[in-house]
Amino acid sequence: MKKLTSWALIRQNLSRKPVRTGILAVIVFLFSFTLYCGTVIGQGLSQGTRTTAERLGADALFVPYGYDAKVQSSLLRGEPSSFYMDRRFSEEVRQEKGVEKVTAQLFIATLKASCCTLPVQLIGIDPETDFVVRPWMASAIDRPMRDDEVVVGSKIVGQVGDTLTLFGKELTIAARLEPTGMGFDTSVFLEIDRARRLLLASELGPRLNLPAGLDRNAFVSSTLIKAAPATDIKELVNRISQKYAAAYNLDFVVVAGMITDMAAKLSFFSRCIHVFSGVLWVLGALVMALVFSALIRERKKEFAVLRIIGASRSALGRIVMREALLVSLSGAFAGVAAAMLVTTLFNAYIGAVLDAPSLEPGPLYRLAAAAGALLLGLMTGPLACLPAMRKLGRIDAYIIMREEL
Amino acid sequence: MSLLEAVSASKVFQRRSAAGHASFAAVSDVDFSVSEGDFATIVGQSGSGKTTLLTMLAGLAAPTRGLVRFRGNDIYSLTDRELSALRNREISFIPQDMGLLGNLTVYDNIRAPQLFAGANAPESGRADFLLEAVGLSALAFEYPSALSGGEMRRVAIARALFNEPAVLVADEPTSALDPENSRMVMELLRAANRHGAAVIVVTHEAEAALCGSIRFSMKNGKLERLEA
Amino acid sequence: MKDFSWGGLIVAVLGLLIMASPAYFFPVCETMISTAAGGSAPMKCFWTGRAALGGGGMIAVSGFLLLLAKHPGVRLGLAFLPLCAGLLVILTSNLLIGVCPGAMMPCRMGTLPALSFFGFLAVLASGCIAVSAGRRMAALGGAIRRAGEKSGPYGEKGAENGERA
Repeated sequence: MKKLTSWALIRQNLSRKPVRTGILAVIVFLFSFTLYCGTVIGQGLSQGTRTTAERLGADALFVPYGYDAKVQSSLLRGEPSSFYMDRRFSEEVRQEKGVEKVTAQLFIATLKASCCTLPVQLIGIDPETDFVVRPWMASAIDRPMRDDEVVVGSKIVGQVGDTLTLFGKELTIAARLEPTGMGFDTSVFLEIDRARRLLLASELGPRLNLPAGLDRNAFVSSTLIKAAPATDIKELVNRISQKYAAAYNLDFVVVAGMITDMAAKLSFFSRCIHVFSGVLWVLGALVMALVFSALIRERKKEFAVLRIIGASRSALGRIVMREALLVSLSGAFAGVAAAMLVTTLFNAYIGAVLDAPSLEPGPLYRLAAAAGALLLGLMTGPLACLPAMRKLGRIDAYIIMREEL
Repeated sequence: MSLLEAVSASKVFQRRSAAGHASFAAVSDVDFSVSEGDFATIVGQSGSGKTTLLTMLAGLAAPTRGLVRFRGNDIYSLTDRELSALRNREISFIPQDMGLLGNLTVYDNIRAPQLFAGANAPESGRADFLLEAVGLSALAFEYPSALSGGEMRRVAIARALFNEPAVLVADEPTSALDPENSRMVMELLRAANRHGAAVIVVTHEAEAALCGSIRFSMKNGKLERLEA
Repeated sequence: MKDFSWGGLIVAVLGLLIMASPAYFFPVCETMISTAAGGSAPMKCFWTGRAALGGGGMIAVSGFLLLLAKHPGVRLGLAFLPLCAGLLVILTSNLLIGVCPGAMMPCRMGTLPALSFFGFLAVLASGCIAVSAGRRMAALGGAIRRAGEKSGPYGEKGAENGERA
């Protein structure tokens, strides 16, 4: 039989006291779990927002008055909405100094697409001027989009060549978009005039409540603008809205500002998570320190025996330390594993619940977060048992005193 | 040359009471020595300082004054690590009431000295031999909580013998045992003595004390040698 | 971790969670699809939900049985029931039946990960029970063998017990 090692002793000590070991491990588990989940979800949200900012391509959006919030939720989360303004605005604004690109989009909220139970955002785009959607196309179409063709977001079911039924019409998928982490993922894109005709011909057509004076054949939902390089976007937007607000009843969203708002909200969220895991850690470490301290008092007989059979003080300390380390290791490992499983499986659900664009961080980031949570969790036990270590020095006194005094 | 000796060793404790601190000498000015092959017994009533003397001899408590020497070297001038190694290999202490590690089986308890003996610890096979010798082979894989008092005492003796120590120091090895178990325990200690270990036994039972080749009596911290 | 008896409770709770997930916590899609014949039929996820109800029920019942069972042999056998049922829950929701294809549909976002997660935990927990019961079986076998080798069916332990009494 192999020689008895201190690891075997430690394993026995832990497994023969399952409740004690379990409670200590659960404390570390909770901490590691929260830390990993918080870090990864926070990162996913801020990454989702950042891609929106970096890759939307437009600097400002103009929408009918009062719909600035609506267009944000539509862009960020793909919440279907429909609002309308005159198309001529996009022609006129093109002439303004400092405007590089202009394109119009038409939003249609469909009630139902084939199979999908959730409403889908239908977006009419102008293939000639579009600079927003095209960069996302996974497989570019190098010809004008045909009348019966659509481009779909990454979360819409169907491959290129498949058909999709919208408003009772069969449409062919011509291209798919890369995942964007924003509303585009659940949108279907088609040619803007075609979209307008589809809308008017549908059951919604007669009930369509267009603002007075709007041409039934020339309305859009929003106008997106890209400023020329080195243009003060705020100044440009102010100038445009002052000039056209009265004529077109405009409202605007500066993309950079929208993202800043979002980012502020998110950084608050991730600060909360980190404060929470910090509090959890301190509390956990405190509880563990108390438990370890009580344990050493309770186990002094056991340590006295070890001392008698030849344990030096440092060997005794090593055993206590390793026990704490092993408990932390199992708790931290289980916590990180469970957190990884939960965040991976429930990624889409978390995004939906938090109502924010969310992209799962890349494997490297997740690995780093896992390593960090594991390491911090691992440190909890040994750190918490440091204060209790001093008590080990009193074991010798215990051996002699117990009878004489 | 004496193997293990105490030279005018004293141990003074500070007692805290309502009246303030008072010092109290549990052991005062004791000279004691055993040589190889000796079987020493120390009798005395409880509170006479026997256990304190034993823990000093076993390398567990430094005397307040005086020396404890093993093979001529002052053991309390050693580092904690060296002194612990000495406890592990040369001076085995059998405590009265806190014998075994509750989380280990009987078998693992007996070979527990391996934990701190490094590379030159005896092989685990010695535990089988010792189990056989103390007649507990059938209980090898039981935990201490399933053992009777006599069985626990025998396991503690087997463990003390694991690293073949030069000195065996036993504190009241027969206390709270029935006569048959007492006889068995004393026989085990005598057998260890025959195999070369010097044995020091503290007891308050006159019968057990008669086993000794050299006998001492202790009273109020003073040790007195009794004639054979 | 003597015989991991509270493990049965964990398994039972997981079984109940699996049963409740498709109905309450992470509901499947409610809409019916219209068939060519003009009728309407529930979607895939509905049937996955039904399968989870059955599988979860099996896991819950075997969890309760594990709470009652004492003998390691019985526990070992019993532990395979929730183990296989857990695998079945994972397989039906991911492969054998599956859920709706849309990435943003509630069944894919909620029900599928929930069933996979709880199913995985059920497999893990019953695996632990099986392993611990298996070890107890082996230890029991060893003890019986050792006792047989020594002195009769009770070994010396019996004699010592008598002496103590």
